[in-house]
Amino acid sequence: MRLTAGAAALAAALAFAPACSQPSGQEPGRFDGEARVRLNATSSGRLAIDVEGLPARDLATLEQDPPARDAWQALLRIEVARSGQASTALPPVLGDYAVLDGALRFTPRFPFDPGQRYEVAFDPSLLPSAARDSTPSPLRPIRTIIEAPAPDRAPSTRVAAVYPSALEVPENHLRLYIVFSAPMGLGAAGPYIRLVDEHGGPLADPFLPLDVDLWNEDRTRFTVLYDPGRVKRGILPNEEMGRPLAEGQTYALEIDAGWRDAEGQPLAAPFRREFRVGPPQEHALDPGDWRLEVPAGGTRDPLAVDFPAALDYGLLHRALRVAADGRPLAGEIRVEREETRWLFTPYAPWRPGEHQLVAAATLEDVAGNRIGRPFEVDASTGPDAPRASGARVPFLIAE
Amino acid sequence: MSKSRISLLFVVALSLAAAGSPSAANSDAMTGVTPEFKHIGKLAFGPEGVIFAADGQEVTITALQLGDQMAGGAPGTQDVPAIDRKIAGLLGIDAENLIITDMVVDPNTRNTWISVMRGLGAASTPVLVRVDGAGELEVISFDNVRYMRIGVPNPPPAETPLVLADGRSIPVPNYPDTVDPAGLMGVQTITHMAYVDGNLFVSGLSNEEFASKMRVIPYPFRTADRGTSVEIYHGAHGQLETFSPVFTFVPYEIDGEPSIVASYLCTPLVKFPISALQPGGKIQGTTIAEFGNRNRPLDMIVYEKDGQDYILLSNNQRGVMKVPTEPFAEAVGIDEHVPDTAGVPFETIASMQGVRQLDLLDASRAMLLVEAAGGGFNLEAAALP
Repeated sequence: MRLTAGAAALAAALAFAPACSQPSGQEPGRFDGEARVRLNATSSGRLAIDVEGLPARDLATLEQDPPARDAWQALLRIEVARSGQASTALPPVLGDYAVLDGALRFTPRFPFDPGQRYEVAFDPSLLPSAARDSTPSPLRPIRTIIEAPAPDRAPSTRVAAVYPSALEVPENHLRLYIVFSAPMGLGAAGPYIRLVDEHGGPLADPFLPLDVDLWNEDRTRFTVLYDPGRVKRGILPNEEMGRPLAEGQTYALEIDAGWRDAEGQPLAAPFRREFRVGPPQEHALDPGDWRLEVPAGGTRDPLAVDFPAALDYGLLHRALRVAADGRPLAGEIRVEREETRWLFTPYAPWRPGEHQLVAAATLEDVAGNRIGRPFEVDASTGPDAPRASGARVPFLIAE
Repeated sequence: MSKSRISLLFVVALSLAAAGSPSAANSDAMTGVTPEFKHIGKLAFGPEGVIFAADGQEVTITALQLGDQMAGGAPGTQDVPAIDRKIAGLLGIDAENLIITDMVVDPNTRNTWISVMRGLGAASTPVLVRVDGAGELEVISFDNVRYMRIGVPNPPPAETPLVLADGRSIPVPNYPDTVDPAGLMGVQTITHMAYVDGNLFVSGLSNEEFASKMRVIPYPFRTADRGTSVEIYHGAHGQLETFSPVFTFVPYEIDGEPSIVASYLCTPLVKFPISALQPGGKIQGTTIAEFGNRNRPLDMIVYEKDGQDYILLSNNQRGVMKVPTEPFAEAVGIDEHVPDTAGVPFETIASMQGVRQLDLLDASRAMLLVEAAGGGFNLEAAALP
């Protein structure tokens, strides 16, 4: 829990104004002419702001006859510290005021936000004694900044991989995967991803502007779709704008470190990956081109399948499996050699006999070509267009 | 040039994602004091002293019985520039960590109510704020507030796939903890609510094959039924659509027939007779307009001006549209593919830019939550166009 850690670290986080930098060594309740602002933990572990060193009779009056909220807020005002040039006047932070343990205590309605800075203004001229006696308070006003302790961690989440991992992708490349080392936070990914040309200029609208965040279940893998309307020929945006990538050119995918992880921390480092663009890949997948290395029965050696060109990284994990007797085998999938090799290690040793490599109709290469159906099918072909199909490739596990 | 990119992008998904389906919420009502929420999203005003708040995460609706606490200090709503920063300031956070989820105007006091999430991610806290006629912001305490709560039956799975024309699919998250609040799709569990004459109308997705539902829940709550599947022909996609929820709607009488006027993703405008909404049934609405692709409708209000009724519809991409209702009764249903816009006429209001939330303030003004020039949001009233 971030706040528990914050409470433990509160001593280190005190931000004293010059006027309140003396150690608090006086007897309880004794007025020594210096007020101090402190961040303290309440009995429930919540952080509160205390003003210490106030005259005992003022504290007694405030305790016996608590003022209205506006008056409390004028005496001790806590505001979210404004960053940069923002000039909006902000309301004081909502919370409760009380006299407790010889101090004036402000407990926020909602816990102080870890890492957030707060402006604290204490105006002793509004203490009951000063108001009643019409004499200036001997206390000096305090204006200071207090920072709620930030979680005790440095940014550590990184871009662990980008797929396709090959340094050259076809011009009609359709989908990118960005894999992170830890779960990422909510919030639009769009501002943090850009594609630049070899002069560093950003490409206009290369990606599908669906704005749907395409995460896997634990939010460690993000999918970026190039706009299929621009990748596919004959579709209006392609005719207007052309494909986002051009053969022979070099581009870079850039990921901004400002992208926040699930802990609210930015990435440990920005990410950049250059790639070349090769000719388009426009043929349907043909399982007849796949080469299988079949393991021996009784072992748990992997089945290896080599493809002539890279297949889609995400789909290799869910659209390809191994079956025997019509039932899928449980095992572990690995993808190697820039997504041109698929390895399946069964949890149980291979049993001799007929097996099948089963490809779903959704399996694609990096350009969206499927078994029996290239991505570039003329949209006007309508119902006569070839349909993608699944495939079963039999193999025999020997005794 | 007649080929539409959207015909490629969107096709009805008839199957629902099986993974991660949250358990069905109880559809019997419960009562209590001091309600707790996981999420606070859509709001609607009920009978006097009651405001409904949807929890899109738990897929429940809570009637907060605030009674005398409904009214702020001064009636009306004063404009509040940088409202997001001010709410965030009150809550002790930076505005970057605040998400505004809805904004509605109390038809009795004309105070504006804003639901927000304080903080991002798992530790975020739902908060309800009222803005009054003096511009004072008040955080509504849920302490000791009496409430009545009902679970929406058959809540949707974690994701509902959007299938592209060539069979590839995009899993679209439904729940607030996985939805980018600024994204195109938005939270799909509970998308909109409106209360009329003892009934709360609720739109959203379900876990059923025909996922898009309109529910009619009598208040005071007792039980909630399965709702009616509301299917439409979506001309811009050239398809019947059942998976996409109504994102905003208004109850409205069309030629004497109490009806719902609703809008969906990529902006068909549809009418349903309320009498056709039968629990467990399936109806097909009449698509009376297509207002354009790549767009999510946000809010809809009805108003009268110069003896004519209009609908004002705000959108996340296509601005604010003014739609005369007079042609609604005679409008012919769209049943074939349309490349862009079609159907009843509308006018895009050039003066209303960056409107993220919209409600009726009074007979002549709308209340708007508007993107400010330098970032953030302003709360401001605007004359009805």
